[in-house]
Amino acid sequence: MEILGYARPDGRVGIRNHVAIIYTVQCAQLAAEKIARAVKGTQVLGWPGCFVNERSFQKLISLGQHPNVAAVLVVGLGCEHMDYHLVRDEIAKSGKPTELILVQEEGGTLKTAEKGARIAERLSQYASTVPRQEMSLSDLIVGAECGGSDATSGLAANPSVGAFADLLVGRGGTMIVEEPSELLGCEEALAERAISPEVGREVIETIRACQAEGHQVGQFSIGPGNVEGGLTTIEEKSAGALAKSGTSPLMGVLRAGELPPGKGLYLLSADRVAKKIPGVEKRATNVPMDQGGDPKGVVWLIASGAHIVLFTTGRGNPAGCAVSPVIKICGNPLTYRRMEDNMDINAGAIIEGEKTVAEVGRQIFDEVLAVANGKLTKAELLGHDEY
Amino acid sequence: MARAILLHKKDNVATALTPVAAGEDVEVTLEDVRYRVRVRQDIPFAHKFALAPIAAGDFVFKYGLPIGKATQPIGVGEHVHSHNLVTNK
Repeated sequence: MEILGYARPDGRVGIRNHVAIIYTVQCAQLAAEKIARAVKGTQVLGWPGCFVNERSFQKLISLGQHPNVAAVLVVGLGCEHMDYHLVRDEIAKSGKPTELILVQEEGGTLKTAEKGARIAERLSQYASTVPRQEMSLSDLIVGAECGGSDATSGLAANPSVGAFADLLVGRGGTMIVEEPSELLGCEEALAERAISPEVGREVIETIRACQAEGHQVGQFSIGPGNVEGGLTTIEEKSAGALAKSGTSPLMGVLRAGELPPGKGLYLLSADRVAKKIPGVEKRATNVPMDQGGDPKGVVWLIASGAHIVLFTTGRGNPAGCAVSPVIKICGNPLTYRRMEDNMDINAGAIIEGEKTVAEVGRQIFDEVLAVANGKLTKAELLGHDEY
Repeated sequence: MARAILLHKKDNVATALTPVAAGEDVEVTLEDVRYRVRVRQDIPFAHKFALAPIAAGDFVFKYGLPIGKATQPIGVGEHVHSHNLVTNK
């Protein structure tokens, strides 16, 4: 046995056992937070905007259905655009206990918090009785994201994650890498690794679409800080980001909220949602909104089923996630020492010549196995439960 | 410790792991590939220098991938950056 996970009614297996308190508009956020404060084992997440789009529905549903979540309480206000019944019903399709309360119906924040806490108490006790299930590395899905990058990201942290990816895929596991807008120039190399000509074409189309978008807005994903740090072109930055994927064949391209259909390496293009959720069109608008920044990438990796996310950084980034553990891998040895409270793995040892990329890859492998078996990451320990 | 890193055997540039001063000799190795290069300009941390002569219009390779084209001839040991390398995108 490699990992002792948590069995879910839909057959998926989790490595965490949270009760998710999901608010469907900012006006219900405080009630959700009061509920979570009252009951152990709960995590708050939600969508603050009143206007919603397909991605907001997809996010809440995918995170609610995630196998790291044992049970869900949806907390709505009662007049928001988000269809909270739809959110509850879609999550409930996973078979896990899923309940809904509304602030306007309950009679305010305190009454919602009180009733919600009683529901959450019951759900959290249920979670504590969920049967454990043996799982192997081949059942594990790991996502990779980079953020707060500096020149060491592409030299140490990302190649180490690539070495890990090869180990995981070699053991039958699944790896998802993100951000096609930071793979410009890698399309041919990645397409050559595609499992079929169709997947190869999709890779090229996906990355070229990002390139066209870059031309349209007159900006690629490379900033002055990158150039000062020694990165000259978007292709160079991309090649450093691609290093996270290792050398395995690419099995497919995933859209936002799409689960990998098989094992192996996948590319996630989170700019488009996977499929229409029936009923969403009545409420969803074309408002182009999402949370910004790298926590967003982490969330979409988790929405695609990632049990754990590897987050590479150089300048230092503390963010975690409410649903899945985030392992921080720091390529810059100075940042690692300065921000050790937030960092799990020091890939800076490669820069200082103390370790090889293969050795740090192996260290990440051991850490992933430990975290899958319950070891808490720095982000978890500090309560970095972003979403 | 190593002063610079070669990321792929196909590469024609190395990346400095510490600041390297003009005139210093730097050795980079990757498995059976080995270069010894006299650096021609000061190379800041994480910046690139050429391991082989690169003609104007040639691809610069790092990670085994083309990361852009040289805009002028680049000699061995010269700094490779925005002044002599542009995106091909």
